[in-house]
Amino acid sequence: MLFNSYIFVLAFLPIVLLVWWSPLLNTRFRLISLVIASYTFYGWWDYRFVALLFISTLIDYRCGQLIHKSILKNRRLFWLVVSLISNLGILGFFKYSGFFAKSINSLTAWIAGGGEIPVPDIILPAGISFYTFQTMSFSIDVYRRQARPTESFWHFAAYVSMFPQLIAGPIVRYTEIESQLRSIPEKINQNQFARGIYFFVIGMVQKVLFADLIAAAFEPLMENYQSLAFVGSWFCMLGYTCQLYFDFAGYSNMAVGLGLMLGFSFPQNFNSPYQATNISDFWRRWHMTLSSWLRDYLFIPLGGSHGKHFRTLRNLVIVMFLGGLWHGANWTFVIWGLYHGGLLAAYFAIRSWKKIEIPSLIGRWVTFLLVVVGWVIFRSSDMTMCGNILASMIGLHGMYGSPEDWTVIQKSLPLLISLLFIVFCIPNAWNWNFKPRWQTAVVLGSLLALCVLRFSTESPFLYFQF
Amino acid sequence: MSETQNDLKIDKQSKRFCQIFLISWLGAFGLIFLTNYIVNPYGDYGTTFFRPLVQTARNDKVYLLSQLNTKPKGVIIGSSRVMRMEPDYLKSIFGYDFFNFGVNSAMPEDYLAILRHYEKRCGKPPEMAILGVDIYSFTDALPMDSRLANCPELFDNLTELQGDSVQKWKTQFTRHRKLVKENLKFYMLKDSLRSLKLELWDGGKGDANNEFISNGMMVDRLTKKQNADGTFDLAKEIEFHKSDYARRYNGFDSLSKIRCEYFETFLQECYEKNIKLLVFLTPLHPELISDLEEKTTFKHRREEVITYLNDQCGKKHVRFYEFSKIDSFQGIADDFHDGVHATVMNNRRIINCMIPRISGKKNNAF
Repeated sequence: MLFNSYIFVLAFLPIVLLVWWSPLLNTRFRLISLVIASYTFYGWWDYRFVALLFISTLIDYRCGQLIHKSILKNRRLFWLVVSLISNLGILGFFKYSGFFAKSINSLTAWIAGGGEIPVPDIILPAGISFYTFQTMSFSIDVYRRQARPTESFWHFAAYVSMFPQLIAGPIVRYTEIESQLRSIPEKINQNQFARGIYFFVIGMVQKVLFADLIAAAFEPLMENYQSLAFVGSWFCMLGYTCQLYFDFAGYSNMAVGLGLMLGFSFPQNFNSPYQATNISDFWRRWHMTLSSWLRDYLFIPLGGSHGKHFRTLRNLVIVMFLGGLWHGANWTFVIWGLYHGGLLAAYFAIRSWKKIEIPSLIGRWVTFLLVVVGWVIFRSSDMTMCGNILASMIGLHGMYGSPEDWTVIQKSLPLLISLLFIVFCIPNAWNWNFKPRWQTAVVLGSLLALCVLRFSTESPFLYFQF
Repeated sequence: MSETQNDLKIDKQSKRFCQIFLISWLGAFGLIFLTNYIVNPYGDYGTTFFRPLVQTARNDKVYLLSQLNTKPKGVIIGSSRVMRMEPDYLKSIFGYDFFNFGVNSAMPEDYLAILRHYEKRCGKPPEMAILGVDIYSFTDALPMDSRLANCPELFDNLTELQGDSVQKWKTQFTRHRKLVKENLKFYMLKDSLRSLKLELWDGGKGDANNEFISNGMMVDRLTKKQNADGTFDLAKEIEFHKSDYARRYNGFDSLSKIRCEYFETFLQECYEKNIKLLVFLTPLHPELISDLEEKTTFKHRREEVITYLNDQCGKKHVRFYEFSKIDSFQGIADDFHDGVHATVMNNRRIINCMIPRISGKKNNAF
């Protein structure tokens, strides 16, 4: 089920809210209703993956309890390893087995001209990368004694499957929501609910009116990327840059809004990332919950930035390499991760070597350009496509391209400029001082109605594929 | 103000915010629904305050027929390709009035619905019917035209489609559900606003290019104007149909059984009611034909349709004319508005070929 669908907005959400806030149900039943709703939401795509979600939940629930109860360190470590292996095993099987087989086949074909490992044809379950990281953080936090596992299975199942953030984040850690799950409010906090509406509608506008509209403008050009010239390639890549941001930030804001409507606070996932003044700043603002996850569960355990310089640089590259791989089973994602790892390492090296003050405006532009180049790799299905687009972006394929392309670009240029203005100059939804005024309610109500009218063209969120 | 009082105030404000949000959201939907219903840009809802943006030939022809004092004895049935066939020209041959009941994208179910409606409206079946059949009308790839479903005067005649009362109720429910769903779509609102703009600010210019006169014939003002300006580009028009029809024929793999049944029922009713019937296959521009023959299943479907029509018409002693290629009726390639719509002159040639005795008459097309 998509947030931007009739069934979700007109049926699923109202029913869930009515049941959740029903005075007739006690906390336990409310949690059960939330789990049922979340499994329904998830099973709407493919009911078979509900079992996978359930198994993953069950394993981590049990492992969490066993880690907590064990006194011996080795035994605690054993259950942690069981949890990690099962999580990474599920993720690896569903997400990377095909990629692995294909890569081995290519390698053996290159070396010895043969060798065929059968490539499994597996459908990737939606949101698997997100909920796997959530459950892994739970096991690690319990092992580190930073979290206390719950006795109630429903409590834990609600944490893992909570439908607002199940498919595409934010990646919520157990420690962030534990206390909220333990003390679920029985009455609606009107202010929180109003803020929830605000975040949900803003997110919907970002997705339906910004991301989808700009995608419709540049996607037809991208289909013939070989024929793109300088202007066309920049138009497409700037369009994609905006689409990706509004699509993902839109989803995150909707998730936060839905969470607030249910009485939960989720962490912020985007903080105007294209206003970042350097690449490190960018990663503190883009997909913040993933960045902090990688920092706390990967970068710091690897030694963080406390060792020698070389070690820090190595850690940065490893973390970003794995971050790239997390996004998808394709070499372009790996190279994109390494590209960002390289940029972070270069930034760290320069900063430790000499303290250079770069004017923030120049810093912003340089960072933005580097990020756009990164999105070329990210968007490309293979490196040939990537090379082609990059060549067009430096003018190797002419200036304006075909008159048809030029007509499309001219028609959609005002939209692109407006979106770039928004990402560069307008504060994000978290930074606006929201006040529950009636004028705001009228505007948001009308905007949501307008968004619902556009649901006829189904468009899933880009990050669902990860 | 103490913190608690402040909290209470915010809580009250927030509650009001939520209520107003809900009212605004539902109100916006209501307003949009009402606008689309009243403006009715596609002629779906039966409201007639504004002109629909699309051609609603079925509703228009039903209305025009109802306005005629002298009920015509002859009727022309078919798709938009027969809309330029002149009732007056036929009158000069047969001596009685004809009505052009050509409707957009007519399929065999339309032929039957029109025939039955005609009888209902005029009190008796027509003496003569001229039916222009399109090869494509026997496809299964296209569902029944929604404009037929939205024209109760025609649709209600198709009892075959409606079944028993439960099925009828089900059909009605599905149709209304679809209409409500369609109403709440962005393009509908966009076209309602466009329609309003055309009507209120541009003086209703939007629909002035094509118009039906009282005998049902279409008057094409745009082509006339373009011809006068020297801006008419036939090649461009044909180009559009090349891609459009290539797409259509790609899903057209065999003749639709249900559409054949409708056609056979139509023939049977004409036979039983003693209606003089002439059937002809409507022509396409030669350039479009060669393109379709090269890229699609057109050639096979054309042969199948010709065999089928020869067979069926033969059984009911109905004369069938194969005019899909212009050579068969001495047509002229330049006398097309586009790839599929022949001009009045080519339509006259079709009539002349079907009714050879015209050659000695004053109103000879040549």
